[in-house]
Amino acid sequence: MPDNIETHLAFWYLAAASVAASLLMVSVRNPVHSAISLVVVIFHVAGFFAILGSGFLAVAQIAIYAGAIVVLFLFTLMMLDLRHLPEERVTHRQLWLGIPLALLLAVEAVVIGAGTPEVRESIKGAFPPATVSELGGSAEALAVALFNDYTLPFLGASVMLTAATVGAIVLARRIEEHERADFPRQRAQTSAANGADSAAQAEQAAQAAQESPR
Amino acid sequence: MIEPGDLGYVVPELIVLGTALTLLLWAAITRGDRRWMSVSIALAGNGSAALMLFMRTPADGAAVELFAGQLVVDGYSTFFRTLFLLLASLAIVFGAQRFPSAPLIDFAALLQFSLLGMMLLVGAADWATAFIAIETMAIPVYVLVGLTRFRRASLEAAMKYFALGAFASAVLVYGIAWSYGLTGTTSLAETADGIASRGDEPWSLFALGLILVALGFKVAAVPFHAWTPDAYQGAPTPAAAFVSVGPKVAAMALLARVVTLAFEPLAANITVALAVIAAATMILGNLAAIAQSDVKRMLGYSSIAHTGYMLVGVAAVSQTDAGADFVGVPSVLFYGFVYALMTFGAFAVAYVVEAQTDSNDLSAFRGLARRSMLPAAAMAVFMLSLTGVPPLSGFLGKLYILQSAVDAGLGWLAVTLVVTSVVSAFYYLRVVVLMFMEDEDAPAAASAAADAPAASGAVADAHSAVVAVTAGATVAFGIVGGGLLAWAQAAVASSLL
Amino acid sequence: MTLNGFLVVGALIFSIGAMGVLIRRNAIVMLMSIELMLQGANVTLAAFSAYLDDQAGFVLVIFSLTVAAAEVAVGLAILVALSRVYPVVNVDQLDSLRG
Repeated sequence: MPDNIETHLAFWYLAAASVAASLLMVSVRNPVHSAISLVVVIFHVAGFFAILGSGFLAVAQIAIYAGAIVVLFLFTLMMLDLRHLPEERVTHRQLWLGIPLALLLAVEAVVIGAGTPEVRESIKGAFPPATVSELGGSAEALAVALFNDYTLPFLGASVMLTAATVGAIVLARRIEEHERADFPRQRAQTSAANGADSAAQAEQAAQAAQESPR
Repeated sequence: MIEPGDLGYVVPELIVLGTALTLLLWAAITRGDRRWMSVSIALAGNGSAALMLFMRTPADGAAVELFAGQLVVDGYSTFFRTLFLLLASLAIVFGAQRFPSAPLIDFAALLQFSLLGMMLLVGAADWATAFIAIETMAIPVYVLVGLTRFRRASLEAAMKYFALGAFASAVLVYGIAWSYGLTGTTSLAETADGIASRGDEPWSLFALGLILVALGFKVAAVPFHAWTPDAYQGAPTPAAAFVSVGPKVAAMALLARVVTLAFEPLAANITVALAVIAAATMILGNLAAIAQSDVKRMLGYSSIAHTGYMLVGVAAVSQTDAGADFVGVPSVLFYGFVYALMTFGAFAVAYVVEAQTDSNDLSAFRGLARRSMLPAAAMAVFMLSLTGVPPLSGFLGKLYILQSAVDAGLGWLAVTLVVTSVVSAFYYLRVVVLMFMEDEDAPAAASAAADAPAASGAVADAHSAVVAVTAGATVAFGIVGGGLLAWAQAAVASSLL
Repeated sequence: MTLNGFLVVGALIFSIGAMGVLIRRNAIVMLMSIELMLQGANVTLAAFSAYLDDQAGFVLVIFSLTVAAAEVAVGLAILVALSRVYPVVNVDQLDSLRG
């Protein structure tokens, strides 16, 4: 990676912007605004990939995340129709978990950044400041690595995507009436103990959900 | 690069993948009741996969590296792959009892995908393969838990399981990133060299800690266990039976390989961390199980407790002059095998009761011995074996783990194991007492049993076969457990570990 | 510009994401926070890869992108199915499973 003033400026800009957008994402109340902040984070992380020498990953990141994943989030938000958001209450238990974790991780970030002397030494020792060769993270270099050393996980990833597609279709398919009746008798007339289970209630809720968007 | 010879060793995986795709195609082109056909396809596939597994075992117990060091075929992976093929076959027969035609094909196909992920996971020799395999295993399982998608409880269970599973995956990626950054390699074996040259400096421990947290979620160790009881209670019973044994044992196999191979130089630190986690897991799992009134929830907490027992085996490391000696790993293999069979069987009997009485409540077991003797007797075997009563296989499993803990000088952990097992007798034996001793509230339960859906006789027989196979194995491995232990020891000896 | 700079950014994004998962109750924002954690891990991987002059880290980023896409597809499908049976947004409302 070129060690010039432009790269340094780009790094500091990307660092500040991506961390700020991350904070915004977890703190704003409206999920749509969160999704937009996520897009901002994604673009800036793509910038990191670019200055680290992998233009290909930067493009892939934008295409997959911004182009597919965030769009999926936005579609779901539209489908669920969240105009009337219930109030989110932060409970004590969550703060108990969240605050120590945040402190711990802040300390971790400071330690990585400032580093106790021997830590900084050890990282320096492990990483002679090699400059990334021309091929570093280019599409060509990645393709060579992917189809030589990482063939098996590459093929495995295709199976995983197939399984995820099948799973998503199975879950999102419309619930047929006969399907419900088809299940063992007890499902249709569940006892009052777990009333939320009952198919009748489920049907009511489904009707309510169908009517509400109109 | 795929060497043609490499493919010969992954024929079982290819058959399992082919079975999953065949099931999906079959679902697309046929109509009507397809239960028999889907069960036959899946069983034929898994049977021939098991056959191929033993035909292509590497000669003289060597470990063969395939696909440029991504996958290893050794005794260790063969041991677990045999277990998973058996479990998936049992789960599909179980599912044929619970599901009508259309959802059964989805169930079987997703199960086969998950099985493929588990089979790759136990042979993974590189972080890239391990990561992809763990996701291939987990993603179909989230769907299986939510398969009855008109029940709120089922989808809630799926949502909770998914959220924590995805969180764990993100932690795992971050841990892999640090492990890679510190050692400059993604190969598990080479990671050990890199870690050894760095010693137990904070960064190595940080990477190890992240990976242990992520795998702790997958095996449901305290304090990362919160999803387990909810997922088992909400899931349809066949899915719960599979989730409680398959992915958990597969993740345990990966955990054992990671600590014994990649992070072997940190064995001293690992022992301390895992021993503490194991003690907490055994104590909390057993205490929480006492308070449960839902049988699937109780089995959920019980499975947490058994995770703790297996972790004792992983933590049992004796330091010798030549380095760390992981004395407990063969006992973990043994325990994983018998735990899987007895827990699966307990879920199968829970389904018999569910079909009779509409209820998963413990009180539904009241007088089960009078209504149906075979399931009641089998359940007694499972409960006594889970408690660790001789001569059942659960007893032998605990004995081997205790031995290795004592050998490794973890006396206090062995004592914890014994004490918590005694505590567990309380809730396991309560089920036995309910089934055999107490009179049922005669009219209500009897009438419920009388107009229970008359499942087609053959399917009901198949379900009895599942119960009988698991109960028979639980008894048999208790009496002739030495053979299984010898296999486990040979498996560990011939592995990359 | 040092490696440490990238590692700090990665750690910060990862921890902000982890905090979001623990503190936010909105199911969709929780899933987005998990994506954020993966972004932090990806920055770390890519930085190590560049400084080690090696491709493996970049390849792992590709796998992590793939897994993220698959997870989101299934997670949102579960959420949509759940909202059909029971209109739910916050995970606090997932309370039918009790022991």
